[in-house]
Amino acid sequence: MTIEIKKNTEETIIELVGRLDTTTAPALDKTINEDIAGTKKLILDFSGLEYISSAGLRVLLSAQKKMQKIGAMKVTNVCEAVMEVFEMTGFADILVIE
Amino acid sequence: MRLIIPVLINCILVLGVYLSDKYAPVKKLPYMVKQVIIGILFGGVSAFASSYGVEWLGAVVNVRDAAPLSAGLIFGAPAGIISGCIGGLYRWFSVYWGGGTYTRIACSIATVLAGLMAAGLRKLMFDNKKPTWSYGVCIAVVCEVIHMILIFITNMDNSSQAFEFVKGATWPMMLGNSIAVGASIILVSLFSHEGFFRKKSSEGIANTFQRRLLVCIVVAYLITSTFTLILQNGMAQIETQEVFTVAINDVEKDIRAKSDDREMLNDFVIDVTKNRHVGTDGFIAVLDENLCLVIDDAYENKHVSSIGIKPPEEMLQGKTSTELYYADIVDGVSDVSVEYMYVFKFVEGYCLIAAMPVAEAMFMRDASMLTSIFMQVLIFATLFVFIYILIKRVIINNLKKVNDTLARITQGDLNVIVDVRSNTEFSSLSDDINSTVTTLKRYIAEAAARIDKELEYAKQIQHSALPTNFPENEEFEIYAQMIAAKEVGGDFYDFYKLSDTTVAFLVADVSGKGIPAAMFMMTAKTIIKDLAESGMAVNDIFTKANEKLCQNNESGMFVTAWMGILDLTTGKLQFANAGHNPPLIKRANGDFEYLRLRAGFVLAGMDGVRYRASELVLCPGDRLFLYTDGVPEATNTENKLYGEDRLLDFMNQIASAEATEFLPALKANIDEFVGEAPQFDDITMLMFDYKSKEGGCVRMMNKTFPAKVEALSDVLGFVDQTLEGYGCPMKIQTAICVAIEEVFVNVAHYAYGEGEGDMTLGIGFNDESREITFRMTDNGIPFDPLKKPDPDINLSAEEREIGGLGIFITKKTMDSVTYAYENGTNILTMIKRI
Repeated sequence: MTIEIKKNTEETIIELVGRLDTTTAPALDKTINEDIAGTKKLILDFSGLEYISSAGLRVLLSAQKKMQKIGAMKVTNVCEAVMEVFEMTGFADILVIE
Repeated sequence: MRLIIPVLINCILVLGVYLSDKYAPVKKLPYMVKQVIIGILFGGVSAFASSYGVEWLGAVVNVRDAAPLSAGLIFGAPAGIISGCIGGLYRWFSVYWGGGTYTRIACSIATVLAGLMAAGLRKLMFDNKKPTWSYGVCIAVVCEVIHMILIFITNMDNSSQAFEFVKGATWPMMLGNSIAVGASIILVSLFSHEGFFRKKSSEGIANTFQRRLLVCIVVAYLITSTFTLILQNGMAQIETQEVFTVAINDVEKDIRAKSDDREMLNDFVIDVTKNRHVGTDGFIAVLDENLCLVIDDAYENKHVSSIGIKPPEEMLQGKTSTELYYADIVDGVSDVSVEYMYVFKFVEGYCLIAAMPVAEAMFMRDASMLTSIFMQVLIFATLFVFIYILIKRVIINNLKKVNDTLARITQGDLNVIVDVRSNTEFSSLSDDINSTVTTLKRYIAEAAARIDKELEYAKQIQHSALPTNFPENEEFEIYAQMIAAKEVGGDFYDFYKLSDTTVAFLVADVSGKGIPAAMFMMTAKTIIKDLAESGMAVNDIFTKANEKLCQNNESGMFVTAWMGILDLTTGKLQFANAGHNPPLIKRANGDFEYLRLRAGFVLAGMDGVRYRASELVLCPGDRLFLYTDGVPEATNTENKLYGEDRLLDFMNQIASAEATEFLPALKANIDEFVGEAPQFDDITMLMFDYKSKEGGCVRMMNKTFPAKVEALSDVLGFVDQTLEGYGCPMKIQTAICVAIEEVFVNVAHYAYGEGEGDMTLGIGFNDESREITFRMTDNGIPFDPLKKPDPDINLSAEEREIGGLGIFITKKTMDSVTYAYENGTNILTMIKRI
C-alpha cells in the first residue's frame, strides 16, 4: 500500500492506494502518529483504497479518537466494498464520511 | 608300372575335389560352375593319362577312361560329360604328337562315351548320388569292354592286330581303370564316414533289388559265357578240322590222279603241296613210307621228327587217324618253335600231314569268343540298367510318391489324398490309405465334438459366476461385460457392496486363456471377494490375495488386477493396481483421461509383495472405465494393435453415452478395427458411473500455510485464485478475503503461542447449491473464536473497544460459520453462497 501525504496550511491529506490489512495497517498508524504532528484537519482520501480489514479499522478508530480531541478527521471517496465494512461494523456512524 | 601314376593322380584329384567342397567359399559356388571346373580338371587328368600309358603293339595301354568315369559318377553328370569330351578330343588330336593311329577313333569315342555313360547312370540309376565302389568297378569294366569292342569295330580290316592288342590290353586296362575308379570312390567314402558296407536295414528296395538282380545277371552271364566258350571252342575245333579235311582231300585227289607214275609222283607231290595253303600260316607236308619229308628244301628226306613232329602211334602203324595232334614245329627260317596242330592221312603210300599254328586256329575261336563275351557283357549290363530303371519307375518312384503324401498327412494335413494309380497294386494301396485317413478323421472329429460339449458347459458355469448387473440404485451404476477369446476365458470382473455405504468393483486378467486360465480365474475371484468382505483395505486385500495365490501355484500363472473400493458417502475411492492397465476416468465436465498411478507388481507372481493404495475423491457425474489388455491389444489382420490412443479417442467420442450403450459401441468399434482377424485375447470392460446425490458434491482444494502474518498475502492469493475459478463476483470476493484474513490473523497470533505451526485452508465449491465452503484448520491451542461476544457497534468512537472486530466481520460476511475441535485440530467451517 502506498501512503502519500499532502500538507498545506489548513489540512493534511493522506492518500492511500492499495489494501489496508494486517500487514499494511501499522504503516498508516505510524504515519498518523508521527508524520502529521500538529495537523488540525486530517483528510483520508480512500479513492485508491480497495480493501480494508479489522486491523485498518483499528487504526482509523484510534485516529478518529485522537483527531476528535484536537480538530477533525474525515474520510473521502470510499469505495463500495470498504463502505460495506464501515456499515457492517458501525464505523459508518463513527467516522465522518464524504 | 607306369600306369600307377595316372591311377594315383586320379584318386588324389578326386579326394582333393571332394574335400575342397567342404570349404565355404567353394561350397557357395553355383552348381554349374563347380561342374565345369571339375570337368576341366578331370579332362586334364584324362589327357595326362593318355600320355602316361604303356606302349604296346602300336597302341597305348592307358587309364584314360577312369577320369571321366570318376568325374561323372562321383561329382555329377555335367562334369563327367565335360571331362569325357576333353579327354576324347585330346586323344583325337594326340596323333599329332605321337598317339597311336589305329586306335584313335575307338579311344576318342570311348572316352567321350565313358563320360556320357557315367553321366547317364548317375542321373538315371543312382539318383544323382555317388555309387558304391563295387558299382564303380563294374562300370569301369563295362566301359573298357565297350572300348575294346570299338577297337575291334574300327579295325575290321586289321582284325588280327586288333585282336592281339585287345587280348593283351584288356586286362591291364580293365584293372587300371577299375582300380582308379574304385579306389577314388573308396577314398571319398572313407572321408564321408560311409564305410564299405551298408547295413541291411538301411538299404532301399532299389539297392537290394540291384544287388540281387546283379547276382542273377552275373550268374546268367557266367552261364552264357561258359556256354559260349564251350560252343566257340568246339566250333573252332570243327572248323579247323574242316580246313584240314578240305586241304588234305584236295591233295589226296591230286595225288590219286597222278598215282600211276611213281617217279614223277614225288615232284608232283612237292609241287602240289608247296603252294597249298592251309589257313594262313598252315602247310601240308608229305611223308613217304619211312615218314621222311618229301620236300625240296633243307629238310628233304629228313625224318618228320626233325621238324618237331613226333610221330604218334597211329602214324607209326600207318593208320589214318581222325584225331588232332599237337607238335612244336621249328620254323626252318627263323628257328622259332611254334605250336601247331595237325592231322594226317595215308594216301597212296604217302602220309599227308595238314598242319596249322594253334594260334591261328584258335584265333578264330578267341576272336569270336572275345567278341561275343564283350557283347554279352554289354548286353547284360544294358539289360541290368534298363531293368533297374524300369523297376525304379514303376515301383520305387511310386512308392516315394505315396511316402511323400503320407509325410504330408503326418504333418497334419488330413485332407490330402494319395493318388498313385499307375497299376492295380498302387491303386489299391492309395485307396486303402485314403480310407484309413478318413476313418481316423472321423474319430478325431468325434473326440473334438465331445470336448466342445464339455467346453460349452464350462462356459456356462463361468458365465454364471460373473455378476450380472446391479439392481437400479441412485448412487451408482455398474455395467460390465467379459467376452472370452475361446469358449472359456481368463479375464474377470466383479462388483459387490461391502456395506450400505461401500461398494467394491474390480477387473482382472489371468495370464493365458482357455481352460487353465479359467480355472485360475475362479480361484482368484473367490479369494479376492472373501478378503474384501472381511473389511480389509484395498492394498491389504491385494497383499493377502497375492500370498494365497502364490501358494500351490506350480503352474506359474499370474493375475493382473485393478480394484477400487468406494465410500458412497464421501465419494472417496481407494484403489490399488496390480500390474494392470490404467483405467480411464472422466470427471463430470471433462474428458476421459488415463488414471496413471504407479502400478504394483502382478498378483501370484512373487511371494511377499506388498501393495499400496491410492486415493481420490469421486464426484457425481464422474465415470470410471476399467478394462483388460484385450481391448488395447486387439489385433487386426495387418498385426496392428487397437492401442491406448485409439481407445481414448473413441471413448471421448461417445463420452456421455449410457453405460449399457457405451460398452456395445466400444466393442463394435473394436470389431470394426479387428476385421477378419480372430479375437486374440479375452476382452473385459466395466463402466462405473457415480450418480448425483442430494446436496451435491463439494470438491475441496487444500493448501497449507505457515501460521504467520507474513503468509497473509499468500493465503489471500490462494483465495483470490480459487474464487476467480468459481466465477465469484468481485465484491463478494473482497468481503470473503477480509473474513479469511480475520481468522488467519487470529490463528497466526494466538494458535501456537510462542511456537510455530501451520494452518490449512480448504476451499470447496458445490456447483449445485452455489455454496463455497471454507475450511480452516490448525493444530494449535483449542480455541473457539465464536465464543467471543460481538462488539457493540452502536457505541461511539470514544466508547468503542479496539478488539473483537475481526471475527465479527467474518460472522457478518459469511452465511454460516461453524467451529469444531477434532483430533487435536481446530476446524472452522465457513460457507458463503454466491
